[in-house]
Amino acid sequence: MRIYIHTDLEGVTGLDEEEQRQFDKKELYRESCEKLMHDVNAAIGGAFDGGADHVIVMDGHAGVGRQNFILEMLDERGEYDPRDEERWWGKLDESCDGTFFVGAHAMAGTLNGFLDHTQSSTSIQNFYVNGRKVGELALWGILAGGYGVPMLMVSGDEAACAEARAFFSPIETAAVKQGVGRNRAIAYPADEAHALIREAARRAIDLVGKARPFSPIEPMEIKVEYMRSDYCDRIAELDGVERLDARTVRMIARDHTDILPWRSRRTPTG
Amino acid sequence: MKVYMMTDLEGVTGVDQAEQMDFGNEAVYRGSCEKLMLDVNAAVAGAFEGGAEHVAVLDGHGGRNRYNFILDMLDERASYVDRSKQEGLALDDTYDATFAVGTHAMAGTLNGFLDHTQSSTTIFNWYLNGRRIGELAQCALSSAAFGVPLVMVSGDEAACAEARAFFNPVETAAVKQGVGRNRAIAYPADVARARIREAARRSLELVGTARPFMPIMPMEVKVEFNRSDYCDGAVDRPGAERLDARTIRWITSDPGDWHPRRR
Repeated sequence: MRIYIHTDLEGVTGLDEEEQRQFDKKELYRESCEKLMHDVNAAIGGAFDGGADHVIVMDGHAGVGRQNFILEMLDERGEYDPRDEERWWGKLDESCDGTFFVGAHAMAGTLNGFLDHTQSSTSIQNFYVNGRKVGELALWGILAGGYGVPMLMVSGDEAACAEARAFFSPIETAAVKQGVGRNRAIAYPADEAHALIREAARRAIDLVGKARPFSPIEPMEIKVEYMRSDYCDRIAELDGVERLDARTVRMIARDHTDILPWRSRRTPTG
Repeated sequence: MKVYMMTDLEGVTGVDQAEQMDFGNEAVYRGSCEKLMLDVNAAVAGAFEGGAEHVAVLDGHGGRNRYNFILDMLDERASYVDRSKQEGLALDDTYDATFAVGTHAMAGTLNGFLDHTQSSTTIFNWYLNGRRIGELAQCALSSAAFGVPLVMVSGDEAACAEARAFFNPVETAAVKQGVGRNRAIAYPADVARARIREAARRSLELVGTARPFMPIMPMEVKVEFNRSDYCDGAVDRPGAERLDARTIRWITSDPGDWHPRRR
């Protein structure tokens, strides 16, 4: 049984102030990364408890170039997957039986979603797939779904967990905090939260064979609404991208890996 | 005949790069303010040619604590509205017409030079009775609160097109064409200012014909923010209803009450 774990930082246990994810606050950021590792390890532990024999983990926060993982803290049973620009979803493929999303946040526009955003909190207003507003959970679900891999488990704040249940069913969720407005959260006690993650991960393994891959009808229409007209100027020039209005672009995805236009599309001239 | 002139900086003749709006770059910003004064003076002159006896001018860009006007450049026939000395706009029902000089198009306008509505970093859309509006309509609402019609608009082509989509009749003077959001092709300054002067002059012929911009009352105002936390501060407005994380609405019978903080 092979499990692929995608991670983010905003939804990690104990991150309850916006400042904790500021990269330039070195010491504070390091602590956030340590907290991330505890959540990751709890999920790895649960996966093995549930019967997984191979767990791969990816450091997903803030783009391919950013290292958040503290590798010496990683449960040695977990295989670290250093993804690259070309394949930002790493070695996730048909050989995996399920995927987890640890440390997740809710989509842009979620009330009391701690640090709610979709891909960018400064440039993207809304992201739609086949007309439905989606966040990073669904985008990862689509990516995995294209390989036939179902989303089995999500941890994050209450809003991220509610979003997960609205997109994936069945799904195991572990809520580690409650957002209070956008920039603050009430963190649940760390030991309880880690136990929730471990337990959700363990139970999630039971969903293998029951949970279906998340696969919207193809061809998928991707629509991205930017906050300002200049933010989508470059994207609008990419191959196969259509500008619907000053701030909105749309494209038809070639496949499940072609869902982020700025990653998968090139300018027509190359 | 009394004219009230609202002003902004983005739609001024010769301001054709986003950098020219940078308050932190003193020399460049000063150059933009000088250009602003020349547009204001062109409109003041046109108003007097058109029969105005009193022209009040408001320095509107950047909020009430920002001064852009270079007062010793201002046509001495104009009356400067000093916002540090009074509350509100000092606009009242003795005025016959409003101008909006140096304007920009609403947020979400393709090739609108520096398009935004009130804030280019926090506000996504602003709606009035379900219709998306920008600052032009907002100027017209503030003016309609005193029964005064907006009759003249200068700015880039996008702002002028927006004016014509909202107000009819209206005189417009386009001084540049936006190229994307952050650049514009400026029309020759003498041509642009002659247009402003001419539009201002002709617009006063619309007094008596042009109607104040008055939506059906009570009106619904809806503001959609870019992020949920930006909306937090606005929900305290008495009577405001939060529709979702990023959106508030309120109902009012006062056309001037279009901003979360009444101003």
